[in-house]
Amino acid sequence: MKNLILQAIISGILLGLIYGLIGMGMNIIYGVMRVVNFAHGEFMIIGSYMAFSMTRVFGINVLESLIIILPIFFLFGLFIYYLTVPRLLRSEDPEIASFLTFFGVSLIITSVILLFWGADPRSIPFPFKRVSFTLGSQFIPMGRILSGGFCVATIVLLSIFLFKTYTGQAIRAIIQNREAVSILGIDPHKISSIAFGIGLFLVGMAGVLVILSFPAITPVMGQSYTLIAFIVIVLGGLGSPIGALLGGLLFGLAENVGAIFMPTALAPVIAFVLLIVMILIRPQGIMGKAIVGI
Amino acid sequence: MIDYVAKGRMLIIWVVLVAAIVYLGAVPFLPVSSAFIFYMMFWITMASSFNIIYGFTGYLPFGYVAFYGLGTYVTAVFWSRLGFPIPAAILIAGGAGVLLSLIFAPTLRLRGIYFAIVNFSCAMALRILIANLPEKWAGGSFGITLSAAYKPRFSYYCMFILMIVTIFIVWKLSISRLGIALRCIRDDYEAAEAMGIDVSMCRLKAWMLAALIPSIAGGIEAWHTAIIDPDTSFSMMITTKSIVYAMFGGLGTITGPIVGAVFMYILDDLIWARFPILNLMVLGIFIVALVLFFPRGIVGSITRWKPTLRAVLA
Repeated sequence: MKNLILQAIISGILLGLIYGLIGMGMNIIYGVMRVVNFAHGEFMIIGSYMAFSMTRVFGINVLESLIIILPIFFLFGLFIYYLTVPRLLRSEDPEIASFLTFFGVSLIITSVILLFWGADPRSIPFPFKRVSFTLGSQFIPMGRILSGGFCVATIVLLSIFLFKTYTGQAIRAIIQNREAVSILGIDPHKISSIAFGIGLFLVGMAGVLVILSFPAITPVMGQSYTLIAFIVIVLGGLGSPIGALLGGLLFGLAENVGAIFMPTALAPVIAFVLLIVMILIRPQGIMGKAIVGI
Repeated sequence: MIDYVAKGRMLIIWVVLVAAIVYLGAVPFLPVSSAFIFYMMFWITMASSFNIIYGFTGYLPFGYVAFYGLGTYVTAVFWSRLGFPIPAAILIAGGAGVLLSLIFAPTLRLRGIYFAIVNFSCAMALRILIANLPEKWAGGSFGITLSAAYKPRFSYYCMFILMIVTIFIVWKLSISRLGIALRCIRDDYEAAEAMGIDVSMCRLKAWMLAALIPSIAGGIEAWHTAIIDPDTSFSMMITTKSIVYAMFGGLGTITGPIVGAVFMYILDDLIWARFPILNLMVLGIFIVALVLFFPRGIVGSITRWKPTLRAVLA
């Protein structure tokens, strides 16, 4: 039993890092422009599908495909930003309007996936020889270690970017106070579009890395990842990138440790219970300062 | 002086209304597909009751499907496992929907996007719970068949009555004190409170009403299709279409959801029959275009362009 719990904690943390990555992307977008990206999960699995096709067409492995996928996602983010967000920010209720718009986008992406890749589940063979790694009495799947390592590296780089560079500091400033930023002479559109690009960059990364843990992909998975992203950002605090990381870890741990004590099919209910309890007792989340919308 | 224009308009409205009711009442005896009309009435009902909660109060219940899904299940379980007659089971389903809305009621103190997300999660949690109930109660992932109770003509008329009642409720609501109070709360929460409106009571009433109707509609629909399972009963498409149809017509108006549901349902059906995958894409494009360019919908845009028509349309 002790062993089982230890195992669950390790995989909870490793998966939690990916959930954190998903949540961070969503939270940067939400924090900077109050846009609720309901298509987040769909963006993520389109990343998975792109990795799938690249391994087939170019014969490269999943991690190498990141080099091509990430810039595409960043540019795609800029494109989507200029297509929708400036208009959304002018509407009466930007949050709900963006929620519905990106819900529409999620339907469009799902149908694109169905057109290009079909409805059958696809799977990507594990690209490395060594399948697991032994730590004391624990077996840890190699894929999870790799994806965990990539997540940590990304999170470190992202933190350096957010705290040390001019653009990163501008992004954090805009999260804190949008009006004040324009007075300081920072172009909010430029910064917001970069933030959107980074949001998609992170989710594209999560989409590729998740393959190493769960190699099967289906077109309908997007919605469950969107839901995970929501839960993660509400747990961590809306608009806080670091909060999202903590939320992701909390969610990963709750899901994996909870799965020991209840039937696997019921495990997702833990996440919802966690979400509802958090909203009722601490609606601003772990890291959230401003109470938005309450 | 008598305003002949206004009188003429009212006459046209009444003629259209009576003609529509007579036609819909006669459909089961006419050589048209009554299943097609059944679903059109179903969507009018769903969109109109969605309008009660989102259009009038501004709460976006993104897990709206929960009430519908619960309705289908309660009806099926009470009929097949406990031996209730179908009409009684459908009424019990309505009661269960109201009960569920009371369980969800604490979430009403959340606003905006928080409410939408939490409501969505509640619906997902309910789906998982129902799918995992023991098979002898709720049929597990295979669902329940109600083919022994299959009476399409009866279920057709039940839906017909429900639709008329729903539209009547929305009309009554829009001219009642409660309806005005709800719109006040939607437009300015603090001001409404300061005016002495009992905010939590008003929105609770709207919430219960908006839960009752889809639960009953779910029960009738389960009777009409004679088979239910967790995937179709808790399909995200139920919420999606209710939102899109209501928005397309115009939220916060009486005729909007009706016009939107009729138009979009016919369009949806045409596309679905020819290009099943494109159906999803068209729905998506419609949502994006509506939110970005026509947030007021057809009826909302018309009344804005010709305010005198407001008396007739909204």
